[in-house]
Amino acid sequence: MDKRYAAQIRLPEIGISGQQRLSESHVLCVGAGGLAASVLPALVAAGVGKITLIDKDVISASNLNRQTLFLPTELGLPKVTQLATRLAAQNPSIAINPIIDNLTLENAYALSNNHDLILDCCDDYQTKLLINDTCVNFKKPWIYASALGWDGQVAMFSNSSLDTPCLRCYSSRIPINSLSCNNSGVLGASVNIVGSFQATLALQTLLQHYENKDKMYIFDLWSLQVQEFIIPYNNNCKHEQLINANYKNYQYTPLTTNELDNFHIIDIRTLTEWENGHLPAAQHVNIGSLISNPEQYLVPSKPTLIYCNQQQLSKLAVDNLRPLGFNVWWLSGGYNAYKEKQG
Amino acid sequence: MKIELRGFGSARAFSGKNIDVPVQTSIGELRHMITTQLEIDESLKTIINTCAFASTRQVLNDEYRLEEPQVLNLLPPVCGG
Repeated sequence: MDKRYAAQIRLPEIGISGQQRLSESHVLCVGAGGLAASVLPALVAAGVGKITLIDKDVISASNLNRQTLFLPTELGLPKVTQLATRLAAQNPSIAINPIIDNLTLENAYALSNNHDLILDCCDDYQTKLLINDTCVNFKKPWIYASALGWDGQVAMFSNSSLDTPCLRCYSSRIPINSLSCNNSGVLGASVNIVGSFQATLALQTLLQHYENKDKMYIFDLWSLQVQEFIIPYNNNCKHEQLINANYKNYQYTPLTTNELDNFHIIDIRTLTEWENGHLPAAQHVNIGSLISNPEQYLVPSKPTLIYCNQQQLSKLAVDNLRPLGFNVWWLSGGYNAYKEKQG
Repeated sequence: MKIELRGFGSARAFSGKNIDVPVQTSIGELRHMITTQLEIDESLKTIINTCAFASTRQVLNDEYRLEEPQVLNLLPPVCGG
């Protein structure tokens, strides 16, 4: 065994067998920003055998306060390739596979199925939900992490069976206008703490130590406090449905205008857009109101078709409402596609 | 009975606020009561609608019914990486 691992092999929880396990592990890291810059060097140093990195973003100057492996001379270059170069130099025995892309429905299943553990190092909630649903489907463990402002959250979801908790069990309410590092601020040191915690949970998971699973660790790094909360399985979460619940399944593409009569139709665009034209029989509802009080706007006797200008917001609404049991669909291509068909 | 709120992150403004609710109030009902009974601005109403609620020990879903006075933690979503 490589001498570089001697210090950790002396830990009774690792030993030679644990080190062998780490060297045979394959990890998928979604996102190559601040969390990845903290998590991945720890995994590479520990001897995790293969790491796949996926992110479509390029390095910008505003990243440099927390994405500490990037250099000012690398602005505009893809994050994953630069990160892969650093990590390969750090430990040449590790296989690093960079993919310049976003995690999508099309690639998530294939990628996740080929890895032992998925690390959520991304900064948008929709991708976190995609990781969640994919991992529920494949019964894959994953480590959720987020850091923003002085706050952080980390959780290991084991997905060892269908009745173990998932991210949707933690909260079925999905943020509509998520704050981001660019508009809310973040400190590199805070991201490093959250990332190091995520790395520790990742290594424990690869070593098959599951004692810290299914708990949300909440970091308040201004007051330097960490608290843990057990996440119970939520019977209303309907994991069986999640397995088939991807956005495509609830997409509706009407072949004729008459088919729309089968639906209660809700327009979630702005009031000005609504006033400039809308689908016949549609009702205008603010998306926040719809998600906060769905019972007020949805008709139990009919499926509801939700549309926005294209489809991003309507998919988001459907993604919020489906886990609550509502029969909601989103209009393929949104109002823009509908208008185009009408000529 | 008195429920004391304790907010983390963007929900920190709720810390120290109290609200009186009947026994058997659900978390979903409490969420609505907070937005209607406490003097809070629109941005905090949005936050309360997306927060997870937790006792000192575990996360509580919207159907959970409160049996006794207690401290409840408000855990807002954090979306940075």
